Amino acid sequence: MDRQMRRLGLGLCAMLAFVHHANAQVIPLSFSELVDAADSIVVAEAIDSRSEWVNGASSRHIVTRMTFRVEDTVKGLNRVLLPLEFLGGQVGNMRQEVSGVPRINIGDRAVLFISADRAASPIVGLMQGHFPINRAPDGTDFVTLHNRRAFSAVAQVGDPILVSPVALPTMTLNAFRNEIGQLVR
Amino acid sequence: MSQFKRTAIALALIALTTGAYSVLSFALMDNRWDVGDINMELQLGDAPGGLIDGSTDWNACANDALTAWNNILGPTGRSFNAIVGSTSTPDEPDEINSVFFSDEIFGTPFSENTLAAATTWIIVGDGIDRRVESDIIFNSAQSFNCYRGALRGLGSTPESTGIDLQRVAAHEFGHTLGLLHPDQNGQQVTALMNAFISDVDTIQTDDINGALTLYGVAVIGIPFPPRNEVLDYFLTLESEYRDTLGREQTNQGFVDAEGSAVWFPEWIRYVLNECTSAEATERVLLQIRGHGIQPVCGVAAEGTINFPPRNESLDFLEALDTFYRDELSREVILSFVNLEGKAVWLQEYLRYRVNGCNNQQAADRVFQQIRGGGIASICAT
Repeated sequence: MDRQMRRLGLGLCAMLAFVHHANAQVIPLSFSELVDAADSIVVAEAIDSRSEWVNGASSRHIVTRMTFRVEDTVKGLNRVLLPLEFLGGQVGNMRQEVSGVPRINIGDRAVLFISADRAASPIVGLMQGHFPINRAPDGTDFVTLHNRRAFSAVAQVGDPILVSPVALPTMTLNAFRNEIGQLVR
Repeated sequence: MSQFKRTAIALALIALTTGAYSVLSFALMDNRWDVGDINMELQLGDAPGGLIDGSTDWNACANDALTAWNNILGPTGRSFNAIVGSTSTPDEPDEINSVFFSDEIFGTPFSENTLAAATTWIIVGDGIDRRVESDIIFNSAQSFNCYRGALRGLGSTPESTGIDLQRVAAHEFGHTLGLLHPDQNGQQVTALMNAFISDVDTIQTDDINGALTLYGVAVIGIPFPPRNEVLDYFLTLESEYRDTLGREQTNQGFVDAEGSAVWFPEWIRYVLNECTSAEATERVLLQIRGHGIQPVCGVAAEGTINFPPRNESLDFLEALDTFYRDELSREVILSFVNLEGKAVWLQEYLRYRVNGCNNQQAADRVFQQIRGGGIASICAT
């Protein structure tokens, strides 16, 4: 059996087992605000995830440490592997859900807008700087908003089209990358 | 193509649509509070400059949000109990639900655009997981006030009067109960539980239905069921056709059970939100091609659930079959249920589900119909 397909299948099974917990109420950010706020912007795939207890100064909590394989760096320093830490996770039979913190599963590919500032989520705007990538049957990569909605222009970031008389082909990864590149320059 | 590869792709397609739990309306977590009071220790303190709506302090402002939830929680056996004046130091995990201002979440800083956060502790076990603690932390770096109506400004700009804390509190208390963001789960509804702060300042019908459904109270207009339940039903339908009706596994098709369980409800969701059959089909096929969740065509009036004629459902399943064969290059799959049977009984199952029936109740009613028992009553009154 193809190992990569097995990994994809297991990753997707794990993805299906999760509800996307992103529960804080937030102020929407525009595309340019996301780009400005990001210290780095990468195209990456989650390859590892581990949750563990951490003893803080006054409390105890769970963090999930994820490792991403970077395919492409659009802003910031080039690197091969990117470690990110998210507040919350599950250890044994205890689960901590922290509102606003996205759950990204192993095997997920995404464009990630990352803040270097320590926070509950390293993603800019909590979850808003997380753009999942979908691969079409013909091999084309598309990106969606963090909530997996289509967006046909970067102006819809932070202001998505919810009702439309026409269907909305989403942006390709290449087009989205070019839009980011124009602002980064 | 191997069976595993087919399964992986089917799962990929499911995952592409959303990390969703439901596709029509509110979204729920898979865990609950035990029956009884949910004590909330309000430690928000004084509002020295006064508040627009005349609330005496921040606790009073937040307490009104708890009262609003309590007004609808009666049938659930749960209610919030506000405890004001506690001097205990908020901590986690301590099984005390603390509500307070801070510039960090127990030592971890907020992101700057975040208004508040709910951090919830859950004991995972067999069956429904138990919620045992939910702390609500309001970001002290934000400017708040307390008022009804349209938002008067965001952030702490000079012209801003601050964000209404009460609607943020009601939103976070919804998370305490176990509600998620509908707009992050493929839905377009008016709800206080949507992720982005807005002019919606009170608990909406969708929020109420979510809370009632989470705690087992049947309501009309509940969301489409979780996809694993649709899949379970679909597989049971296969068994019903084989064992009860004595059908042969001779019906050729290209869509597997997972595909039917995902894409038929998704098509129905678009149709129920004012897309024509053709528009709904176009949007589903775009989703399968990786284009993400599409906008709906309109917003159906509250309480309006008009299922499409069954010939249109059949047309969609035929189009889906063709797509799987031609664009996804799927191989033939043999089924006990023919395409007409899938169109009729999947739709009938969903009709019962959106009318207050749980998975077992809906399946039992459909199988009763298949066995000649006639159309059963719905579950919600």
